[in-house]
Order: sequence, then C-alpha cells, then structure tokens
Amino acid sequence: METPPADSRRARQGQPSGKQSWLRLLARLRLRDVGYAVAGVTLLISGAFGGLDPVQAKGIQPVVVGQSVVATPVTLTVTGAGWGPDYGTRAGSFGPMTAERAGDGERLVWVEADVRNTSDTTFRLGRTQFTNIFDELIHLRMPGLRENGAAVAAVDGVVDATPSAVVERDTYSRVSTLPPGITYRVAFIWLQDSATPPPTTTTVVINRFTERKNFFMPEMSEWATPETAYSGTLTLTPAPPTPAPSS
Amino acid sequence: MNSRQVAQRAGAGTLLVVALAVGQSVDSASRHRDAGRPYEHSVAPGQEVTVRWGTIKVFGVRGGTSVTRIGTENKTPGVWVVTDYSFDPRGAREGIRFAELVADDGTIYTSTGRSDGTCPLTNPGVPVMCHAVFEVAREAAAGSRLRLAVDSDDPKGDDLVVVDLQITDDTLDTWSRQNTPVVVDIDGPLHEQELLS
Repeated sequence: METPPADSRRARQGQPSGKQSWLRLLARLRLRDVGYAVAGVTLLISGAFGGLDPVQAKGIQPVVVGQSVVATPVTLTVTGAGWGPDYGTRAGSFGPMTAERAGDGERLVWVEADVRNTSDTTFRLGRTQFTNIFDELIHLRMPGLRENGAAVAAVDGVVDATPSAVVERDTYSRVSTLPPGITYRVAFIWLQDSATPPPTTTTVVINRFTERKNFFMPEMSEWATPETAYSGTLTLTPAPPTPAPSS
Repeated sequence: MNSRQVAQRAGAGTLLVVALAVGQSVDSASRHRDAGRPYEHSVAPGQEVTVRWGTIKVFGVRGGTSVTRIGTENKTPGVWVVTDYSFDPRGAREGIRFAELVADDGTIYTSTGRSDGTCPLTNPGVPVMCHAVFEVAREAAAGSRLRLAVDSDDPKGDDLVVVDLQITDDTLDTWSRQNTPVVVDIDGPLHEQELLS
C-alpha cells in the first residue's frame, strides 16, 4: 500500500501543513519582530558587499606642484608655497603698500596657484552671493593655523583651516569670486601662530563641488557639497620680509 | 445594476478621462512658456529706455585690462567692461540692484566680488550716474549684453533692461592696446550737462 505524503496526512488529521504553519508563525509575530528579521536578513545580504565595513572615500589624488588638477568646476595648478611675515606689494592711494601682512604673533603661509572656473556662471559657493568661495575650495592642515584672527582647535596637533585671504598676483589685490573662463594667478594665504616652529612642509587639501539645482526653480543652481578630491604635501620656502617701499 | 446606473457610471468615467486629457494638454502647452519671464526692453549705447520702474540712459561702454576705483587699480587676465548709464526711478525711491553680463554663448557673469557695479538709491526726478563693472573672459565680451533691474534677487515677472553693449573684436583690440586704466568714478547725482551731453 502506498504511503500518502506527510502534508496530506496532516491535512486529514486536521494538522496544519508546513506552509500553513509558517503563515501562522508569521501571523503571531509582532511588527517589531518582523522589522528585526528584515534588518537581520538585509545585514546578512549586505555582507556580500562589505557589510558594516567603513566605506572607503573616493580616490583622493595627489597634489603635485606644476600639475593641473580638476576640482569641479575649477582647474587648479599649484605653482609654489612658502611662508614669511608679509606677502606682495600693491599700489595704494598714497603709494606702494604691503599687500598682506601678518599681525603680532603671526606669520603668513601661502600656496600659489593658477585657477580657472570652467563652469558657465560666476563661481560662488552656495548660501549667499557674498560667501567667499575659497572657504571650501582649498584647505591647509598643519599646526598653529588661525582663522579670523583666532586659534582653531587642533586634532592631534594639526589644524584644518581655510585661507584668510586670496590675492591675485598681478596687482596683489584680493579676489573673492571666480568669473568663468579667466585663469587667475593667485596666492591663498593662511595665518599661523608664530610660536609654532617655522614650517618646512604643509598638507594641502583641494575639494571638488557638485552642481545642485534649485528644486522649485531648476534654472537656478549652485555649486555645493564640497568633497576632498586632492591632497598632498608641499614644501614651504621661507621668504624674507618685503623691503619697505621707498618713498 | 440597471441600464440607467450603467449609463451614469459610463458618463462619469468619460468626464474623468476628458478632465485628465484637458489638464494634460494645458500642462504641455504651458511647459515651454515661462510665465514668470521678465519683460525685456532692449537699448543700445547712446539711447534711453523707460520701463515700469524708471528710465535708463546708456552713455557708453568702456573697457581695458585694468580698472581704477577710488584710487585702487585692479588688473585682469581677461577684460574689464564698464558701462556708464544714468537711472531715474519712477514712482518711488529706487536703485539698480540687479546687474549681470550675459555672453553670446549664454555664460553669465554676476555682479559680485570685483565685478561690483553699483547704482545708488535715488528719488524720482533726481537721476543718478551709475556704472556697471564686469570682469569677463576676453572671448565672452564680444556680443555680450548687460541686464539691469531694480529687484536684486529675481527680475522675473518685471521689466528688465537689456543693453546691447556692441562690443566687437575690434573694440577688444583697441581696449587691449591702451595702457591707462579705465577710471570708474564714484556714483552720484547726475548733472544737467551730463544728461544733455
């Protein structure tokens, strides 16, 4: 005599089949338990793609003096770096004057570069049209840097700071925006506490940006969301004080 | 369900479909038309134009690789474009707070940073001299237009003065040969002689 399948036997005996018992088990579960189960399964599946491992940042390329980098929407070529008590001489209303001078207890650290805005609008970083775009374009990481005349908290002795000023190197006047299509020779200038040992190198970080369109007015957009694209160590050349202009 | 109910439901369904179709056609017809676009009024150097918020008279366009404002000189690797114009508001105290230069290819140069054209607030009947100063790439200057309005943020839905700057490659060659910086005076009241000149 042929033996009936187990499910048929259970059905005849009023017992639930395997499929029915699963459904009953699911029906008894609270929503929270179902959530835990789904999260656990998702985590297990995500293990195949790295699970909870730290996500590696997108490739950060090195900064090399003389080599152009593309930090959207800007192309930038670092041409040199140095430090000293002042930087540049420009024409003033009453004759030549020092363009940038360190305050008491400070020294200047600068990175010279050629920059060009490759987008089709004047580049200014989000928020308001008065925001200095260079706030996020380029950073230095080294001990003792100051921002807006004040010390900045250091992490492991290193301060990550934005430039205090940007000057173009033809007239040593300050620039704050990048109109499209013009290559500027500029110097990004930071302030460093002169109590720190004279620097020999610095770490430069260059960010790229993403164009964000206004949700309600798609024809309006802004460059936002800076992310590190390039980083490298630069040798700093000490510069003597600029001689006082002869009157 | 009797035949009357069937007819009612069919009618309601038909009306719903017709309403959706009308909505779709209205949406597609208006999609290519920017209802909030500004009303453009063109003007050229030497001419004046009167719009809802006042009268603009364009005296001329100057340029070079160097500009001096209040004794401070700024050089540019591109070219400075300086537009001299007067503004006389209409009906209320106003100033020109929106200025941008649009290149022939659509590239937009905004009034910010060193490109800081200004025009002071003034009362109706008291025209003021204004200067729009833009630092642009040389290749963007030829064929460019200056756009002026009183609303600093968004000139949409209002009158917009568009100045054809009439800059050509020959103009740029002339500007690049001159050695003296373009001097931009401080904005201020416009004298009668300047208006008549």
